[in-house]
Amino acid sequence: MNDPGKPISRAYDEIVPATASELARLLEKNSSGERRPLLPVGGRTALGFGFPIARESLEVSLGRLDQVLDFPARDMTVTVEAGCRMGILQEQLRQEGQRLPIDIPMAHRATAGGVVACNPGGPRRFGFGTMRDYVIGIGAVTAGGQPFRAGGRVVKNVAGYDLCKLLVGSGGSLAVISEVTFKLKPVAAASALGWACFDQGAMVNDLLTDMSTSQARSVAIELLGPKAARQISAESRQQLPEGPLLVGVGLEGSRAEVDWQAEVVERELRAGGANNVVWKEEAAAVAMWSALTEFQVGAESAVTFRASLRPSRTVEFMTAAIDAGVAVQAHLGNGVVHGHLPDDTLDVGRACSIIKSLRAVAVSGGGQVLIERCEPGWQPELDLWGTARGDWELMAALKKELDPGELLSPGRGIDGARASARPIETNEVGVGG
Amino acid sequence: MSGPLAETEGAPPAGGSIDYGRFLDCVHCGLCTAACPTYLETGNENDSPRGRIYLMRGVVDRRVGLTDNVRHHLDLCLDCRSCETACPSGVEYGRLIEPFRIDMKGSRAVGWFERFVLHGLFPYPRRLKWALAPMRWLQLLRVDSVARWLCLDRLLPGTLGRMYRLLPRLKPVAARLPEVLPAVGKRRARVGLFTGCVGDVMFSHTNQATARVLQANGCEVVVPRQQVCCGAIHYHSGAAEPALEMARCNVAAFPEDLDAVILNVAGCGAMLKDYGQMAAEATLKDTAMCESLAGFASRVKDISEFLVELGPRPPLGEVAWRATYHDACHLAHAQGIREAPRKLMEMVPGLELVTLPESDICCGAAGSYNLTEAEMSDRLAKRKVNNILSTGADVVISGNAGCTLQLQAALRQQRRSLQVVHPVDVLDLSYNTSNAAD
Amino acid sequence: MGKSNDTSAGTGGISGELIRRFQAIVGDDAVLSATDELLVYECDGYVVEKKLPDVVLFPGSTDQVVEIVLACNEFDVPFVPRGAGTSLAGGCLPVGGGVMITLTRMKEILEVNLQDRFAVVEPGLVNLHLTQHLAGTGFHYAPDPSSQGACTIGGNVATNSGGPHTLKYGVTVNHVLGLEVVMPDGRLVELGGATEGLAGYDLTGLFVGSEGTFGICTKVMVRLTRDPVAYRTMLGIFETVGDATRAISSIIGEGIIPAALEMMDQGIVEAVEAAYGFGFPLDAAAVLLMEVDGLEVAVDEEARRIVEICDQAGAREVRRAETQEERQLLWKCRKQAFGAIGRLSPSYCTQDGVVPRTKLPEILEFITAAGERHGVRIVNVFHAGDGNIHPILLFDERDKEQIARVFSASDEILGKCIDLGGSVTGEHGIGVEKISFMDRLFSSDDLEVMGRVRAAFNPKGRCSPAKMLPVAGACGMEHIERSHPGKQAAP
Repeated sequence: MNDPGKPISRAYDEIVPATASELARLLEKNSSGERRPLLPVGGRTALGFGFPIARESLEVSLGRLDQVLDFPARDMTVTVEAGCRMGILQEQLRQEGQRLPIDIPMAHRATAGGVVACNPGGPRRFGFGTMRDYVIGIGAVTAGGQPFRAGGRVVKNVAGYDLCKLLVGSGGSLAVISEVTFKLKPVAAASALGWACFDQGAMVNDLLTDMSTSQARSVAIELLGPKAARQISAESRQQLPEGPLLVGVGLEGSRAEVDWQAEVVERELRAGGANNVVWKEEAAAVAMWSALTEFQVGAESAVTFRASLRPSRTVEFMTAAIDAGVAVQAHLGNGVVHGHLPDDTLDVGRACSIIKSLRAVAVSGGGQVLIERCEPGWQPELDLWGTARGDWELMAALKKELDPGELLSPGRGIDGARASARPIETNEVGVGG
Repeated sequence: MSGPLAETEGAPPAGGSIDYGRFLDCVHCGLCTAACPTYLETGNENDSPRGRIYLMRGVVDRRVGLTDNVRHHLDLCLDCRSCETACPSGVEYGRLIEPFRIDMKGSRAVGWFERFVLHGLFPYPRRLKWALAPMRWLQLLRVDSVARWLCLDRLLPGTLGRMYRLLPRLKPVAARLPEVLPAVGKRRARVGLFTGCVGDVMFSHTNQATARVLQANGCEVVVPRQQVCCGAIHYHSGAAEPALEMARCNVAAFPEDLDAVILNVAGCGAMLKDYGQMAAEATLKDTAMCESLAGFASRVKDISEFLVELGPRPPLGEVAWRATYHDACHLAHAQGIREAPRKLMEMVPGLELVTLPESDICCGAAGSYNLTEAEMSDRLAKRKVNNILSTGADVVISGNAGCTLQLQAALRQQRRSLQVVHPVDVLDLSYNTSNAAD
Repeated sequence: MGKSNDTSAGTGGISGELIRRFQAIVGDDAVLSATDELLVYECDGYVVEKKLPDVVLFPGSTDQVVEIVLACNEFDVPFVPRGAGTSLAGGCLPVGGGVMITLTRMKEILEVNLQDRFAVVEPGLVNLHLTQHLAGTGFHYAPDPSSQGACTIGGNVATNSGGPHTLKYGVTVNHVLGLEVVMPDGRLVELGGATEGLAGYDLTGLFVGSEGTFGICTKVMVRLTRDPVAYRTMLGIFETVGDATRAISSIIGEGIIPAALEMMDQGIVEAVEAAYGFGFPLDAAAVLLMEVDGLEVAVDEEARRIVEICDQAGAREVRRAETQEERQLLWKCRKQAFGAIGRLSPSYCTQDGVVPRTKLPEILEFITAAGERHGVRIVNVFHAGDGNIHPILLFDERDKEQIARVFSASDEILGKCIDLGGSVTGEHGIGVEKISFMDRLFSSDDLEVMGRVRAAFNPKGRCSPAKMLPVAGACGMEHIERSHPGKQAAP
């Protein structure tokens, strides 16, 4: 589709519907008319995911659908339009003592629809789960302009198929999300993070085993390599202990709960071999949570990946990544790793060799390495999702049912993963995250 | 009351005499299924309490005939009443299956085994003692081990062969208990001791221990000579009339002024406690007899239940065993006694009580079930033994003679040397040890 | 086993050849095809509608399930999976007959991995057996439907089951990491897995709650949850239902997430009192059973705040369970409440609506009014913290006219739940019972999109036909024998 004859002005044409029904109308019009590829856009924080965007794409901006539709605080649910900024929403929730307990990078820009589609998470996923645990209702429009809903506004509901789950993490490839209902949690009165250094991976593994039967109920267990530790320390303006492997344990709850657990955790960290435990509380804790969340989008590196691993295999992976010069952060309790390849990764060959070796470690433990962002054009060689899994065919079948014309977010989601195998045809215009 | 579809003419179907409301008590929720040992084994709803109630109701409603398949699934029921414990709606399953089976029997000839052995031999301790005498001699002379080694026991016809293999190593029959045994120390109660039939022959040592433990706890113990079999074997196999006669004899045998009638066999205990209901079901005209049966039933206590209520004298002698406790169905489900025996065992110094997985799932003994439904009985025995072995215990404690026989046989078959004892044996041992130390 | 396999009866659309094929796959003792043995499979916990399957199979392995499904495709017959048959909505009803694949013999615990906090189990495993197996490890499997002693984990996956503790711990979907599924065409697929955050669509989440229409799961990978360290259990006694519901929304609104928050109204209390004599005041309009759990250091403070909120809401009295025995007694009272209803009425029907928690006073008033309007006595015991109501309509099943009134009152109540922004089922599922509500709850567009999602899994519709989504012309439904409603069981 690299057609030099096409007028350049058509690149990134935008539609900005003011209502969900206008959105449906416009999508229907496109589907029955020009059939241009569609790119749903919220806060533009994750546009770097997947393949570069085709030049003739039509951006579907949800920017004007930014209202909080219903916030019955005493029901602890909130219904918002897809373009509602998460930062603004969280502020509004906080005034009622509530929150969506998911760590969202660039929350001031990210939108509700965008975070549901991209399914980001941060350190506190250990204690609170992920987006799938909080989306209880959804409204969306198919590429053909058919509006639909699933779930509802009540916290317990098993009527109909749970399309909320299907759209969480769908990367805008199945439907354009227009409205979301979240289940909420109370804000915590206090929080604290304890940090300690360890020399060897084996010590961290032993610690993880011991902590799995801890009397404390931590909400985050983090493991940082030295590079990541420096970045997070700088971003949060907090001094952290220095050493080969930095472990952080996060606590939330009432003052009494946090204090009591901090004692328990400190004992456990010391028993695990830590010489010193540094605690960050109050404002320092807030800054740390934020820095731990932003790390995944913070670097200007050539390749950013996310790995899914078993917690018990994560330290092994981290060690391999650190040895390869990668800046890595692990949500250790969950086995989720964010990594930025070193600055000297100047060509795709070098990037591939690092990713290949890390994939070998991940796959041997049943895990996966997913390329979130990379230099334009590197996608096919890097192989975005790695080795195909048994359920990809089914994902493709779903994509085909909901978007038979393959209009939505080409090169993203399952489409992107499968496209890695074939040569890229679209124009290589990268859009930074 | 009749079922909605039971309009077809002809002879009343099996179960037709059962109060139809009892079927309606079941709301078909299925919570009983996983409590049912046979369902756990087969996974077949027909082998579950809900399924069996559905089948019985289907027969009564004439939606299904009393076919061999239906009979088979109903025969396979252990009548362990585990489902009654699980049922949130209070369905009295036993009151459905038992009369239904009686009706089922009515339409089928009674076999030789049932007539001569179950009804003719088991309920009579003296006959049974004589019948077992040759066995005792064989065991004494070790001939039986040789026979077993040569697999000669396999030559016995089916059911008799199973009976042979079930037999424990018989201890010499202890001297008959005197009619009255005095309390040790201050008298706290006057109780009757029900010695049972099969139990009295095969586990006479446990009866002796029960008497000693009661005495040690300040009880004067009366052992009436006129007592007879509890009637359970007859009643559960549908012979209601002889069972009622036995109940009458027992009521007459035990003086009315006793504080309690004590048993150490859960199966008999459940039967004795049911005398009132049995009389009501038989719709006796003699209301005075009904009342005295009900009054008698209300004084019946299992030994563990009684001791815990009385407040047991602390056992002081050490019994350094690693033991596990098996819940006899007729104790746990029929009588609701679960905590009392455990409490007693926990009082014994040195005794380590390990939790038995599926402790309240039937071991497959179920009265004469181990003789009539051999295959399922063996499967359940094996399941129980595997659970027991998983605990690493050296001793199994069980409060029912039938279970003890079944467990001993199953353990023997797997060549395991675990002992199976009654809680009262343990208490007796502890009391004796501490007395010896005094 | 001494049984006769009269294959001519009850096997409607199934040929003798197919039966023989099944016998070759699973063995003779795992095939039921005689009417007298199929009878018990004509319904589950929902007895209003019944339909005999043509054959019931008990596969013992994933391979056998695959073989069965392939054979069903080859012979073009529908099939439906079944667990313990505790559905209260007819989830296992074999609409249109066909093959019933009963998974009760696949009940192994295949793996327990405490370090990575998951277990892999077969679908026929009884929910409670997993938690019993984990006793002493400090972990448990969190979803605890009231039927947990009997229902299977595969069945929980199909219906996305809840329970009293879902308020704090979430429902089944929040605890399932991955599945092995035999697809309706016989393909074997693994969805999700033991590692979190895999790339791609959340097919595991989508599959959970699909009521058997997406395929048959043959392995379930579940997340294990740490046991709470401490509990505090309380009983609040209220003069009016309004006071009780106000207390509920204040507790949640104050940011306390109790482990459980259950309400019983006067009718239930009366029945429980008659049955068990717990010593509840009979003149109280409602009682709340409230439990907080967590760290020892925190539960007393939370309990204190709950007592304070109840007092402010006008509670007559808040009792605290001081011992473990008292706690168990209180829970027994709640869990056995349904059993006691038999004392009020020969038959009853339990509904399963959901409303936003703040709408509880409104829906309860409506229920009372609906009961009066239709001359039906209705009592309530439910998961108040989730807004999940279970009005229990009392009637005598032998009175046809009463049954009609019960149906009308039920429909009105569920309609009101929809009007209040709620749903017609919080945990029992759509099954066949609620299928007529689907087009009131969802638009034709919604249902059409759901239909397309189903088509990706089950394009030919052979797996669990006529479930979840209303079918034009109610294909297969005409085969269902609509009999007397009987009683319905507890959630």
